[in-house]
Amino acid sequence: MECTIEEINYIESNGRGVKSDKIAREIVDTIATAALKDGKVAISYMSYGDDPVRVGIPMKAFAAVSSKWESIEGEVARYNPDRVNVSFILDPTLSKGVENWANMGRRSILEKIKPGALVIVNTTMTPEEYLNYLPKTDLDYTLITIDGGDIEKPSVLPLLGAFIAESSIVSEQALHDALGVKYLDLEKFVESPTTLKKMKVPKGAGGMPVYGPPPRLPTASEMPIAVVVPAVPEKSRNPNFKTSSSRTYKPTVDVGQCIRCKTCWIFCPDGAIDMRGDEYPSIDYDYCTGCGICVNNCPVGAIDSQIELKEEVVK
Amino acid sequence: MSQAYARKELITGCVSVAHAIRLSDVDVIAAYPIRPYTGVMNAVAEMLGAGEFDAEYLVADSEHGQFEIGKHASMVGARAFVGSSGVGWAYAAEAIVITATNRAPVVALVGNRALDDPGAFGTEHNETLMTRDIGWMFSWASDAQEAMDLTLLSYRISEDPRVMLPSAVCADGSFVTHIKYPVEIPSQDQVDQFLPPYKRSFALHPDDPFTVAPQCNDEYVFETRKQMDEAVRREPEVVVEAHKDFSKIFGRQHEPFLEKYMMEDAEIVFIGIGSMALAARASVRELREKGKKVGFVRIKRFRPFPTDELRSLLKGRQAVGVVDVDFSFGSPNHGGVVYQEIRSALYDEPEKPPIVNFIAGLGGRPVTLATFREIADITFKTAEGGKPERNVYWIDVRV
Repeated sequence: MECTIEEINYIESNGRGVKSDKIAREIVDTIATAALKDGKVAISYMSYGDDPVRVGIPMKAFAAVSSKWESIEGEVARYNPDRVNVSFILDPTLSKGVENWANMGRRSILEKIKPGALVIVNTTMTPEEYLNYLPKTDLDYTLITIDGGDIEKPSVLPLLGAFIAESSIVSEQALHDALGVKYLDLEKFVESPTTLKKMKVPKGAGGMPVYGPPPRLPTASEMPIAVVVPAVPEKSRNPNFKTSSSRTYKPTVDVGQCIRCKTCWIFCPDGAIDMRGDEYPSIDYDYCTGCGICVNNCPVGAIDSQIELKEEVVK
Repeated sequence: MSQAYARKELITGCVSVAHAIRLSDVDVIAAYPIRPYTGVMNAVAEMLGAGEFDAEYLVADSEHGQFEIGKHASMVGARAFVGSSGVGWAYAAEAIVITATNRAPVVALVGNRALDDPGAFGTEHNETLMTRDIGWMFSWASDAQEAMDLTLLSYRISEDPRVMLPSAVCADGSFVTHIKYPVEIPSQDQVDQFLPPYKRSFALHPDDPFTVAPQCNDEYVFETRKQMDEAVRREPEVVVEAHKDFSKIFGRQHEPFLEKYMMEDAEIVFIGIGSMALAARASVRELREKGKKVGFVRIKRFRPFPTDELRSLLKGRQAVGVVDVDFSFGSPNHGGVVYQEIRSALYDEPEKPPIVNFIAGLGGRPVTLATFREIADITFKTAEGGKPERNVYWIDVRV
């Protein structure tokens, strides 16, 4: 697919805090540097609210590429572009949605793509398989899946190899030059358009429901003075900030092995485990960030964790 | 390890300033983290760790201690760098004041940030503007390249024997500090040619003991203020000289006081500070395409205020829209700080254009092309009516 060359091409890279934020930034920085080497103008940035990052939190980095500075200038002093031409998804479990800070709620991973965009996902699945985990959208796009070597920390080369096979935003030579001495073997990773695992996704396709619009924020006259946030009622969790979008691995408790020692309940840094009296531990999956501390600390090995892709959409 | 030739890299404003520090061969860097300034201390630490240059790097106990270290280093004749953001700058205020009164030509980076509470790390200009009256010189960058260039210029201007006052380079949080722009990094030779070594008469040294700034009350304090006033009045000529040398050596042209964008025949003028310039220029081009005679003026140096330059530049214009990314609650007309300064600068002029004020971008809300479309509509109406319908408009705020 030829990526539509418009006045500004935006590239987005979705990663997870600490785990892949540097990789996400490296991808957009490399593409922006390549664009400069092609004689274009480019900038790159990460969503400002994502820095400093928290472990596992979905984060975004962007590059904007254009043929001339004048067309890019009015758009750059912002935190996020409205729409992107290319979206990298570095961890396939990000399909559950992204959430930066609490006030916009959970957003679709595909929220920012333009019609006809290129979506490149780090996964061993085929695009047809992976589509089941993506939310429906009201536009068409091209979905590419590529094995980045590690579900949480992919190598940039296969991802950029897939990108350069499908997109003409930058030249292959420039991309190679931008990678520099650090990576001399990009050629090995440049995918042939014939072997690339890709599919055209039509409007409305996808295995997950559509996300609702972002919440309406109150006006100055509607807000109490200063910023007043009511306390979360006792024995409940914050309904406006469900932290599970940070989760790659989902822990489950085997009650057959559990000795109800409360170790997991004590260790859980997010207070996401309920355990009252003699009950077995119950994990609140809206709030579990998948950090694995319970798995590592369970004295009898009763907690196991698996890569998690599908989750109920948070309203 | 110094680069022999100029090169171009994609770097953030913070990294760009760190390169200026490296190239200026700064001796003492006092650091205390607060974002967005933190990006500079991180980048400097990486450069020192990689052996790219050598300096004393002290992480202080607080911003107050940090600025005290910078001041003392400067008093012994060391070139010093400090920096902060938002409430960090406010916490350092006591040390900031005496850095100027002790005539220590320290250079600081202010990564502009909203004053907490409520917590926010987006741009507002209030932290800088609340220290505008105490002898620091303030210049404002609109992108990463300018952040570097202003840092180099600041050392040259501050350390000039005619000035000997501290400088702050202000850079909007995120939009200048954290966006990676293509930046030309000069060579060490170029910087050495531009920036002479820092020499201080009466540098503190154990071999030649003396006291600076003892308790002296009204017998002396008034005179020290007069000395500072004279130094500040001398600063513009030093600025002009430094800019001339800068463009000769680095090949980049910078207006010393005001950026004038499409101002030759402009009837309507927008004025602002910092990174809003990017959207403002785009807006001016958009309006020019529609045949509107619009221009944009960016105040690059806020202290000393470019009074004469603004007076002559604004003469005969039909309306002026001043955009403030700051507030001054209860001030005349309840307007922003830049608005007050411009009105005051024009007071003695026989013919004054009508001035309308816009409060925009508070808490870091982006000032976009759409913001400027609204600003343009109101400024055009002001020109038609010959005076503003209202003095101050809050733009992009949910009311």
